[in-house]
Amino acid sequence: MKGGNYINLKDIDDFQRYYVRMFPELKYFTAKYIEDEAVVSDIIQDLWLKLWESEIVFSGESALKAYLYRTLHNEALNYLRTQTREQERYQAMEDWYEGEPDMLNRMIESELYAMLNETFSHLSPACKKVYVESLKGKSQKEIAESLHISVNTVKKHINNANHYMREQLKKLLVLLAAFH
Amino acid sequence: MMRSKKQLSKDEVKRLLYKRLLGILSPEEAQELADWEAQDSGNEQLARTVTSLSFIEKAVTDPSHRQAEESWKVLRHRIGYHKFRIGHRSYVYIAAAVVLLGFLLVAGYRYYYIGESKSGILRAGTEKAFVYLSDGERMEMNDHLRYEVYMQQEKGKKQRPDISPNLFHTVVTPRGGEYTLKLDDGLRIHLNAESSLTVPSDFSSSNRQVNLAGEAYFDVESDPEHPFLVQTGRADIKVLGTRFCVKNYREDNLLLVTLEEGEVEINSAYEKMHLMPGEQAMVHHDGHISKRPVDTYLYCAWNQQRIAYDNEPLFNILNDLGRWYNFEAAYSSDRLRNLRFSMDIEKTADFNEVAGLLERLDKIRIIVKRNKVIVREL
Repeated sequence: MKGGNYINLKDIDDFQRYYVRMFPELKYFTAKYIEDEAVVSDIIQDLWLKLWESEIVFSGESALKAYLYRTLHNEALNYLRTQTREQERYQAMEDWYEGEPDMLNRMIESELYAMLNETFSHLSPACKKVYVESLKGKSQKEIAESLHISVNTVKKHINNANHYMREQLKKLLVLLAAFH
Repeated sequence: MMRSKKQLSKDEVKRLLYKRLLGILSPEEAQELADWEAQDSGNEQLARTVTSLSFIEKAVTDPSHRQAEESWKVLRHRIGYHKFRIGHRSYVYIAAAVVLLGFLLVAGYRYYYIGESKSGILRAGTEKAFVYLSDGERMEMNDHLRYEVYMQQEKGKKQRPDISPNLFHTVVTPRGGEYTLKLDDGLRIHLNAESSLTVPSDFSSSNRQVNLAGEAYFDVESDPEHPFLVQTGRADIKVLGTRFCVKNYREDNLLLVTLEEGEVEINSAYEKMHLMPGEQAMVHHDGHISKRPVDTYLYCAWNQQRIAYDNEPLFNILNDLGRWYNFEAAYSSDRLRNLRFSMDIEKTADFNEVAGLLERLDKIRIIVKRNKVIVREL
């Protein structure tokens, strides 16, 4: 991660790749301020549209991220300020951020969220459901009953998820080690 | 001088927290993380948040990735629009002309090549079906014309020559098609590719029976007073309230009924059988019925937009997929037909992706030529 890796978002394919890859973490981050998912999506899109039309070049991925998070933070607060019914929430948010200057930890939280989300994105929905229930500490029998499926199916899903997780995590850990 | 605590970088913190999530921290790393947490209440708070169940549950189940793709499509439109709006007015006309030309090209391309591959890409099937009315007239169903909307309009008319207990409509999906219809509030039927469903044109609480050839998933709300009946030629399935799928292709040796939820009763000419959730009935040619416990997900996965197999012979897999991607499979040797494979992927993927999975075990090579798929030894 040396300098020289300038990010120029003028190429539509690069632009798309960055957008799609960063969307989950940015959504998670912005949703901490604003509950309405549609508004969150709009704010993220507006920001990237501005980015596309601007001439900004970033010195690297962390510079791009710093810009995105900082701008989303401001845009989200702006939005809350204009919504009269959100006044209270805005006040609470502002106080909260006053007391917690650390944007870095917010970024780490959002990035971890996106990593987990990516890790699980290829599992089938049925398998995810079973996996989450098992994380909650439910027994296979309890899961089978609550989801109206057989214990055999539960076992299979948990096996699949575990196997799949191991494979995915190997890849992720390699990636993480690369940063080290 | 006292040794100051090591300052961790953002990526180091991320890596440690992720390993903590997976429970694979070494003792040294655990100590590093503990030191970092002790430095600041914000750090401690972060560690607590990301290892909480609610955080993990949300991250696992959030369909963020699909949303990202959808959101990108919208953004791409907006970008195109903005690009041309800048500057002189005439750009708008140029843009309009370019867009129109694009539409024409796409429309022409789709018209000529739909369902057929030129470059060896077999696209996944889409939602489409034809409805044959009782007088033989054929209507194409799509986003703009759905069966239930058509029926509602018909029922609103004074003269309804087509609606009577003795007249039937047949909904047919082609190879590479699927279609979901709602016959009444409590009944959803999802037809898989190359299937047909015949329904009475006055389908109502007193006349709830359909005839199926091919594969379908039924989601029936409980209504004990008006049982729902699925006829298949090999056996009838009596339904009170339940979710199940039926596979009944002509070339199959067996009629398969897989029950996810509720209860059904199967009647063949030979015998009668009750099914419980998680069970599958197999009806043989002679009307003999047997049953076994199965992973219902594998049999009904297509209804959830998935393709899922567990240790299934290649022959069966490609037979099913041929209906969805519209191809015929050929094998360079009989041995290949019985090789077994497992997979679980989204069924909107191109066939190339599926072929890539099958080839990964290095046992076979798959060649796509127009609408033929050839399986060869490696």
